[in-house]
Amino acid sequence: MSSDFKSLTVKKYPRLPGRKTAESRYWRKFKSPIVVKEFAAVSSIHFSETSPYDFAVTASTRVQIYSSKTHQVKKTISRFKDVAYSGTIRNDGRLVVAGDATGLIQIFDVGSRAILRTFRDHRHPVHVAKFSSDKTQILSASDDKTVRIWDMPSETPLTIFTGHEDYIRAGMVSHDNPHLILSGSYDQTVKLWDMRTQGCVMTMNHGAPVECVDMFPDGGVVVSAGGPHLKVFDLLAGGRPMHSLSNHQKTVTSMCFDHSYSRLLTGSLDHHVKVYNVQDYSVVHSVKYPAPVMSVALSPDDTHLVAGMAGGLLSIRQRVVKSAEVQTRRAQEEQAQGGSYKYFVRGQKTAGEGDFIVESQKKRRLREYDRYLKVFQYGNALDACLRTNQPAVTTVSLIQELIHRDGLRQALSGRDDISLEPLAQFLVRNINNPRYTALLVDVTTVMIDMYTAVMGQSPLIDELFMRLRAKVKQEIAFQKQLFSVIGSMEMLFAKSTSTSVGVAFHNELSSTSNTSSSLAPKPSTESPAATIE
Amino acid sequence: MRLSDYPVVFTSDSNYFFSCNAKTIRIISVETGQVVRILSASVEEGGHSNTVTCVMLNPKNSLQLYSASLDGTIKLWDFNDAILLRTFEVGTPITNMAMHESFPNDVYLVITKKSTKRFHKKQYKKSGGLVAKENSILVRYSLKSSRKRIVRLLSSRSCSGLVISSDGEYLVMTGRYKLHVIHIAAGDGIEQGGVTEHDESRFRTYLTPDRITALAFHPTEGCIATGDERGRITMWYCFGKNVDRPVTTSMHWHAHKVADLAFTSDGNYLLSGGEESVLVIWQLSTGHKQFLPRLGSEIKHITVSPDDAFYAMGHQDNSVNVIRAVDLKIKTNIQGLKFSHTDHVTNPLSTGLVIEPRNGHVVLNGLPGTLQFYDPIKDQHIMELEVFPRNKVSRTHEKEIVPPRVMHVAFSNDKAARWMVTVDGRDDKETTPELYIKFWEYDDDSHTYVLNTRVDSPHTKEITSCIFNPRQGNQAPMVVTTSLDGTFKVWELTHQGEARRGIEAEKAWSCRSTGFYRDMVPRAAGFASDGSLLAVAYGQIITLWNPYLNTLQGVLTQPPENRPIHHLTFLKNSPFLIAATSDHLYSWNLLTCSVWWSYQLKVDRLVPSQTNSNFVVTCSDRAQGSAPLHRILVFKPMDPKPIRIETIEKRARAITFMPDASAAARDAVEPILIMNHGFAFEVLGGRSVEELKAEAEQAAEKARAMALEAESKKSLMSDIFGKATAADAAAAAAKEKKEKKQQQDTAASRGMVSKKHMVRNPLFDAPSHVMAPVSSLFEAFMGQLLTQGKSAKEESKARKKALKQQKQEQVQQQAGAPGNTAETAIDIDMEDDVVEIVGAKEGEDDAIPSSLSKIFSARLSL
Repeated sequence: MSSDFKSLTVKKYPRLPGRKTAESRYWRKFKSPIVVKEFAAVSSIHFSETSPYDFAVTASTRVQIYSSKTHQVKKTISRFKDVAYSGTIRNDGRLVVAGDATGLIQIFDVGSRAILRTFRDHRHPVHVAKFSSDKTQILSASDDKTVRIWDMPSETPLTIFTGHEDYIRAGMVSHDNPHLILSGSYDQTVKLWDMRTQGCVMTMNHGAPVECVDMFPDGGVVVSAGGPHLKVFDLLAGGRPMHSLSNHQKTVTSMCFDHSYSRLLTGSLDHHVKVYNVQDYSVVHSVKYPAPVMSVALSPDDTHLVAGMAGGLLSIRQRVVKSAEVQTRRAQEEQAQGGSYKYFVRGQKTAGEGDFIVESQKKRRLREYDRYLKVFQYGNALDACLRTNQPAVTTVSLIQELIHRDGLRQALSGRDDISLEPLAQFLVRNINNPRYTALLVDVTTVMIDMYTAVMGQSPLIDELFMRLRAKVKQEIAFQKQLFSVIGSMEMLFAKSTSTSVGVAFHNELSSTSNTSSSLAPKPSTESPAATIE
Repeated sequence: MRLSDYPVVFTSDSNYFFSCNAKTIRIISVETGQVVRILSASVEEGGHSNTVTCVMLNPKNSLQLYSASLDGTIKLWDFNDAILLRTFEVGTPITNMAMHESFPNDVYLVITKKSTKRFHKKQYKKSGGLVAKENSILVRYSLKSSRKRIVRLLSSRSCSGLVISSDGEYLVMTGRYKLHVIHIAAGDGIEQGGVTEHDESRFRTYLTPDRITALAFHPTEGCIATGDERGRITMWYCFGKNVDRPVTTSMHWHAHKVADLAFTSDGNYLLSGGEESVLVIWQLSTGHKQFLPRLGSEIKHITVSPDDAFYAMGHQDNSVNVIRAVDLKIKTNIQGLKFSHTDHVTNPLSTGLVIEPRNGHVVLNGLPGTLQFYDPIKDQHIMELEVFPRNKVSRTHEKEIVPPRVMHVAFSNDKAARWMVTVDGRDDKETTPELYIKFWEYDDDSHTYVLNTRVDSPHTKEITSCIFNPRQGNQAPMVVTTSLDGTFKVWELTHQGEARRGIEAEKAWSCRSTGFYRDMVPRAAGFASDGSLLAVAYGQIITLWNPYLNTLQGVLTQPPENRPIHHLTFLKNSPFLIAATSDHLYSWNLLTCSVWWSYQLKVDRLVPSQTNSNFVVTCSDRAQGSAPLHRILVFKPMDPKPIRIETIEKRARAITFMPDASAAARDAVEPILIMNHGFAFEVLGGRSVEELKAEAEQAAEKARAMALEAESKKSLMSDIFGKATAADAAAAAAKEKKEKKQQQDTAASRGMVSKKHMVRNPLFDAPSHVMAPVSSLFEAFMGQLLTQGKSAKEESKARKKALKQQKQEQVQQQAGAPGNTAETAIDIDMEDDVVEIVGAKEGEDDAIPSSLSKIFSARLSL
């Protein structure tokens, strides 16, 4: 074949300003919220880091494990004597740790829900209980102003950090170094502790009671939330504050990162979850919820956005991912698995220097209308385009192509009322779109030319033609109105500028200029439309 | 170059082919597509003095070539050494020639008695297929000198084909509705001159219902294939002798006329082609068809190489395609100047000749909807750019499909010619006319222009001119279009959306302002060489605008004149403005705002020089009672006396200056490139064409030598192991990659003061034991950390302040500008809708609102 068939080029028009950004389009894909009613405020949501990414929801006196596939409760752990806090799943997905209001910390087996370990040293409610990145340790922080690191097998505290002067409500273990512990307290400070020195190595002032802290995976930057503020500290520069944000109206209760740590999500009592771009900490999107948001979490595969609210509502939003995205993720996961056969033969198939690579040419799949265009079946191409629910611009491009090929009449000819209906419908719907008007008026003229002879034989088509006529009439009336407005405004401008440089402006009219440009062919539609009567 | 007027002929080893190219014959290599040798290069050395119509290898010696021409001669060449061996005078124009090895001394010719002048007229008509010839006469011409050299055999209305069967038995000639079969091997009757046209036993004539357009003889069997006007291919068997009605079979696929037929040498396949631009390969035994579609242009001739390895096709668009028979892939594609072979009524040369600043190639209309980049010195096709992408579809009715048209093209005048703007459209007089402005950006990777922005219907009526502003330094590129709808529009490059993650914001073109003057129609526009002044010719009035502030600066009128100005141009580095109406040429001095000199001249075209202040005009004067005189005049702006006058025979179709650095240095007149009436390029003045060609060849030679050198560097070792060079290349590639990555990294981190930036500080890269003690580093390091954010903030503040001041100044300036006329007006509108951004992301266009607000505030202050 000497040159390939050029498939139809669909026209592109500039998106008008003020529409959605790419970012908000992405976050809007988290659709169809499923709302579940819990007993009381959802204080914590935590996703398992292993597939299938189940999540633990802590509300009232129980921790529930939800399945991300079915959005149903998989397991309920309710062996708490008081309100439970901070239900967290270990990164292998096997264990759950949770603290409660009596100061008890318990470790459960996810499968059997059995209590495996109990830690009892705290005297006040434990709001933070998490697994350390070292799998055998857990971190807890309590209202008794202490942070403790526990050894799981022996149920003994390894380290007790004292130094905060108020309740500790936030804490975490650094991802890359299990010796570093971060905690945030109601004494308005964030402290960095080091297990090697057994003490506080850095204190950062947040300026409000700290509700939540988090850290980037390389351990360089700390984000803390408290009050309506969000602060970013640079650990490498000695805890220097880098950013201070106050995009929320009320206290920020929880934070989470997305999978790649490029976006930060914050939930607040002002009913909003906001998404920040961590490059410049600008808000790129925000989601409104019906109640104050107590906790928010994003699944590690970026498909589920779960928010818990003060009234006990739990909202699960799911993003349907394309198979390509799933595949790349799966490929990434497969690569990470050590010890497998694949792991040992990795990289051996790549071409070395001097290897001649035979490139396989992928066969281009043509769309249905392109296939018909290729074999010159213009009528079928038009039908295929109208039938498969293509966007209007595709159909318009196809019609333009048919005109270029001198095939519009061929495409429109020989239709009965059933096969003419989709086209007539399309015209009725789009003839007043200023971008397409000129072209669709031509199509309408051709159609009316061809089918006037058989008018009155099918009630279906008659009705559509009447609707088309009404639409055109209405548009003409509208254009007339616009013109009178333009005229009166031009008069005003002429008056106001007649004394000055002689320059007239009508940028206000720019919005109407689009429609006015389509006016010229209008009278021509009127006359054929009139013949319908 | 006229490549495809007549069928090509392969050499016996299939490595080269001959192409008749007007008076010359080119020998072209199948492998490279380069011209290897040119026969009949000059008339003085014995070449043909008129178009060569037919070439044929000498049946006795395959290293010799016979060529027949309209000048009435047959010449025998030794093509290896390009030596003319013999010339045979026939005396009348020869249109067809046939020979066979069994009669090596006889050649059968079709001659025409008509004058050559008439023939020319026919030839330029776009008729497709073979040229219709009136009153063809078939003669036998003896190459041996004997008493009676020419024997007249028969005459026919017009001949469309002449072949001799492979066994030398039959000679077949077709003319209109007739198929003449002559049994030439029957005996010595012809030899003795005893045979007349009426000898029934030798001459057979069969009638067909449709006009025959193509003819081929089967190589092994007694079978003739003819193609007719209606697209049918008829195979004739059992003819000759005493058969009144030969057996025929017909094959029908072509919708239009069959332009040419060819058998493969084993006779198993028949190739046919025509207006559909599809090569059809018929397997004769089974009737199975194989297609090679979308060849780009109508097929005119098909030739099969002697070893069956290649098929050569001559196309309507002046190109020859050689395809491999095995996989039907294109082996070589040779293209000539395409404009000369298109329909000039629907596709006029509206772009003129535009010099592309990057390489100095000429850009002009190619096939409808395309632009062709052409090297006039080497006479070589460079590139074809599809401005209006389409699948070429052949017509279904008698009426031709209206093709799109490229109307204007202009290049930004920076050295790299980064931007190109084209105006194209299509008007079939039935539907709404389409009109597009397209902005193209040069892509360094693919070495071509890539569509950046398309604007649908930018003006409501036809666009009369389209120019770029001459940029100096960092000035933004700007385009001005004038249209019959009375407005001119200024387009500028804007950034859409914001830069993100180190990726630059999308660039796109959008309308900046629209201007009009009374209710007159602009026909030409020009930019001053520093880009600060825009002149638009409205009828007989020249209006001068400031393109940045959108203000009317002045109006120039030439009182006695009431014809509209068609050409308007500023000259480089001079305050002169040249305007031409249909019968006057004016040189305005803008320093005095007066006409410096004027001339009564019928100006056809006006082109300024790109390097100095000369300009060239073509004009045609008609003195009483004599033929029109066509002249080319070169002027300096100061002086009404032309510095150079050239007289040419026929009207030049287009004209431009050739870029020539040495001429610019000498301040001499640059060579002038014209497209003459016969659609060929001619260079007048400057250094001779030969010199330029030699120079170009030298450069090519140098490049080749370098390539060879690179080749020779490959040693046996490297051939075996591919080590050294490959490793070098790999290292270079790796290095490049690394650099690129670094660039990306820095680009990514530029926008933010983040920990990443500091982590990448070289301090952390070096091992600690080689560094200076921490105590000595500490001060500097901390200082660097702490001041960064603050200084950035201060800087932006300072910048803002400066901007504000600037703005105020501008506003004041504007307020101070005096109002000239009340009738003028400029609209500035956003034109959101009509601007199409290819692959652009959305985003607010901040440039226009700011300019708007500027002007608004100016008005408020008044």
